[in-house]
Amino acid sequence: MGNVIDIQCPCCSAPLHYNPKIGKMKCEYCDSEFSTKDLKKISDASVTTTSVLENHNEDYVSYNCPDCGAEIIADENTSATFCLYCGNTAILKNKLSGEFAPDKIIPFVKVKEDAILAFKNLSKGRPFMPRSFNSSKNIEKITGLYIPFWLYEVDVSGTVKAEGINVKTWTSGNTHYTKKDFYNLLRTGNMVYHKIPVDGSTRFANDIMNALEPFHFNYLVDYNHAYLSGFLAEKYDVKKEDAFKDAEKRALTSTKDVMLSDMGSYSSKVIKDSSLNAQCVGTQYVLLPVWMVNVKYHGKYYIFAMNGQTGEFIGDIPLDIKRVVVCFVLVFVIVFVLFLFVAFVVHLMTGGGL
Amino acid sequence: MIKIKSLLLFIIALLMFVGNCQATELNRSEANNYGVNKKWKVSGRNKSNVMDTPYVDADDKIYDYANILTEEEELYLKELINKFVNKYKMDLVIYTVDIPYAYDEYNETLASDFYDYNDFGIDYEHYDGVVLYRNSYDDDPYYDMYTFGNAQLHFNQSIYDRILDSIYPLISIGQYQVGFESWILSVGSNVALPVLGEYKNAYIDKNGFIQYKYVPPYFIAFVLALVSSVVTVFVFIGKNKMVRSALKADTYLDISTINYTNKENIFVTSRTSSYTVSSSSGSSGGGRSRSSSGSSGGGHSRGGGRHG
Repeated sequence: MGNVIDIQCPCCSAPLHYNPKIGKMKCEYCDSEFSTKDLKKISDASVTTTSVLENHNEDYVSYNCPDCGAEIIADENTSATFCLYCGNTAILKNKLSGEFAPDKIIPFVKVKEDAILAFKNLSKGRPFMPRSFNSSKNIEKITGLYIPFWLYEVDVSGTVKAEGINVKTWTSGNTHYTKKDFYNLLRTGNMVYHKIPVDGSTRFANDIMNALEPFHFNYLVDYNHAYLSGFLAEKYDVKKEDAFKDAEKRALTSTKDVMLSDMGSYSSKVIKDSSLNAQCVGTQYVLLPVWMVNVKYHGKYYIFAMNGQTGEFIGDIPLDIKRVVVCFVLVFVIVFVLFLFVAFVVHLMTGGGL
Repeated sequence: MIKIKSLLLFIIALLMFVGNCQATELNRSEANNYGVNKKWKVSGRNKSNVMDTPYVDADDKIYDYANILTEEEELYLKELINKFVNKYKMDLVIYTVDIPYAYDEYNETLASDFYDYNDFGIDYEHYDGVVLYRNSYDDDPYYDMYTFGNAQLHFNQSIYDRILDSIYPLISIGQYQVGFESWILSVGSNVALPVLGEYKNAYIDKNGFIQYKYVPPYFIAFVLALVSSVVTVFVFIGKNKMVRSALKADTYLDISTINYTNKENIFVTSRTSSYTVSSSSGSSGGGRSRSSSGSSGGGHSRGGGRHG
């Protein structure tokens, strides 16, 4: 047995969805608006928790929609989804409780239209993008998704040793001198990193999730099921101990840079040895808002993602080879001719003859 | 009367003897534009140079004011020079003086003025020719060679050095005829060759200076255009690739928590290296081939004087 949470309008019992524009829950039928606080006060009336029978399969789990009874098929890691028949949000409570209960959440700020607009604006400053690629008709699916992230508090301590070289050159008479001063540089200390995010789901490529950074974590709020209404959500499938490796790697690299930078100004600085230790001093499990945009262009699928908080839109755009070739040839010809022209003018100005 | 006749005959014979030993010298005056080709303008700036330059018959080719050649030697060398001139259509002059050595440029002016103000040069557009100039340096001979007109395009510094160095051992022991003959042959073998590669795009202007035809820098333009195209294309391709892995955590560092317990910047050692920038010196001769002008303002090139 599992629990499915269905958030309904206290006024008309229609599905209630979180509206990022107004930052409240809005009923699309009676236009009633409720803040999460309001909803909590009347939670008994609005939130229906239904016990349903779970059918486990190797690849999916199926539930019955508490409203219409239709079958909802979800991935093992899906924690919020929709009923394809009645459109009601189905928040799978057992995927969001216990060890899977998120500590915090950043609610969506950007709406679906923002993601479409960002996709349409991809052509700006990108002359190699195929002309019709950013047409909205190529968008197969746009999904608002809460992605599980681990946020780490990392304390890095240790020592970095480096060699600094100052180079001075001068000429006396017809002798040219080069003097190199060698220094042993050392820094020992510690520093703390707050909320280094690491994607907690294997379903989404880490580099795409990295590229969506930064999220403004000062807007993290306490987790509430209501924020998931109208969106999909995932639960983590990468344990925090495993995900920490990424955060550790990033923190150590940055610490080396910080310590090296603190060593002062030299002609060159090279790290010779380092013994740094990154310690996890705190972890939060959070859900972060992402708009996933699936695009089909000339039979190929492309995935784009938009930070649901900041609007940062990322993804790899295909190249229009014809445009690449035209640009190459055009720049080549312009530079070639321009250089010859300038060289000829300089030649004439410096008294050269023909 | 007989005494007077004998005296006159003696004077005439003496004059003829001197005339054979010395090149024919003419007089410079305003009427004949001071014996200078109209190409050169005689003004207050160079008039004294013109007047100080011996005015000679350009057909003589050998002007031995230092008296280092015998009459037979002169005749022998003159014959070689005439063959050279007919064969290569280029003038060849041997000019010897015995004026106290001052500095290389002074000798250069004497030699080039001698060539320019006596209208040497076979090609009357560029006045092509080569001069071997001899002076003295203390008790040793000083000598240098100068090229004019298109002759400049057949010689460079290494050729000047090779020719001058090859004849010096002969000249320094007084073997002038052999030395000069060797010089004539060496000059001839170089003039017979095509213009040097380094002067492939060069020509002689109306004042006798080497000028270079404009050769568009196609290769540099090609490389620059190629690099620009590649950089531009890669920059724009980079704009299509927005997905990148995060390698650092700088954004999440709390600067206020940075705490150093030990900071060391210790000087270890210092190393100094040096190298000498090479520069030419002409203590015993040798110099650099260069294009310059005498008081006439006409261009020529020189090999670099040699002396003991």
